[in-house]
Amino acid sequence: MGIRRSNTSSELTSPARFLVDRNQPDAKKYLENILNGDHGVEGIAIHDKDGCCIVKVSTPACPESAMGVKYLSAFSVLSDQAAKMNMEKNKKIFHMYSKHQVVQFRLDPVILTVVAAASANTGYLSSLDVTLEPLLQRLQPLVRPH
Amino acid sequence: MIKTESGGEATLAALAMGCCCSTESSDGSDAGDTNERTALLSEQQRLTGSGESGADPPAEAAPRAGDARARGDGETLLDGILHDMAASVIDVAAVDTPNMEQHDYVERCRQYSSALARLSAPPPPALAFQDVPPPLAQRLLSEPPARPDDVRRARQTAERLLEAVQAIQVTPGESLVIPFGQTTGSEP
Repeated sequence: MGIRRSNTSSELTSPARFLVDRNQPDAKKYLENILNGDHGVEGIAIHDKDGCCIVKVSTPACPESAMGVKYLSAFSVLSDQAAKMNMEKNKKIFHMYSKHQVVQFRLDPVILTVVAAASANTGYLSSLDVTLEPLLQRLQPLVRPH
Repeated sequence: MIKTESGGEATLAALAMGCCCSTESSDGSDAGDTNERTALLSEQQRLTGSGESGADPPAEAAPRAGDARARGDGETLLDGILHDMAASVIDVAAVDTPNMEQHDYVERCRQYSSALARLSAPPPPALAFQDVPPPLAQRLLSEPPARPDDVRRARQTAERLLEAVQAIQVTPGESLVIPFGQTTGSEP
């Protein structure tokens, strides 16, 4: 289908070089590298609080509903409601389903959504915000408060 | 007055405050100490109703002004309580509310994609040097070389131009920087 699976982790380039490396000129290819990294990740979306995607990549195994506007826009409301639990601001929400798991990060003004298989390493998924921090820092100025 | 299970009595005012607990003596609210059971409206205000403060006759302006101020404070307090409650209520049904129109969504996605394309675009080529395509390069290299007189004249012209550019100086007539105060550190 166009997504090559790689058995070596050496193809994961350094996060700081995603725009400098001539082999990976854009953010989409960098995210596709993570999809190919054999971690069980099925889809990655970087979007704003209304569900409008800045960049989105997915494999055929990723359910389309998890990458839709309705699902992505629900996170901001859930996060705001979760902040009322007297535990300070909400940072991440983990959704565990029978066949998939979704991790969403609140990185105002952008939101990072990662869809993976249920058998994927949740600890690795929870650290993707650190892995993608250089990319997110470049994309955050693109989102104006609406 | 409403009887409670513990045998005490609760006033309507206390219930309006959201407190269903009873007290043995309901005189505490009238003793002057304000607490969570203190009625927002006094008995007189409840009996006279919530009249407009602007319609009071001038003869009774002094006592009515105090009532209006108390009503305003009460309304402000009530608004604050409602606002705090709305901010702390967890409304799960709000998740299903649609936020954006279809055309707004499409327009914003288009803006993001164009901004991302600008962000990922390769740097513009340098204007001073450009690669010569091989056929043109072959033709240029096969031509006879330039004459030595032409080369010498071009080099002399370039040297004279360089001297003229280096001789350009700026002589300010007046101070260009007016210090307004003490400044430390370097400017960005």
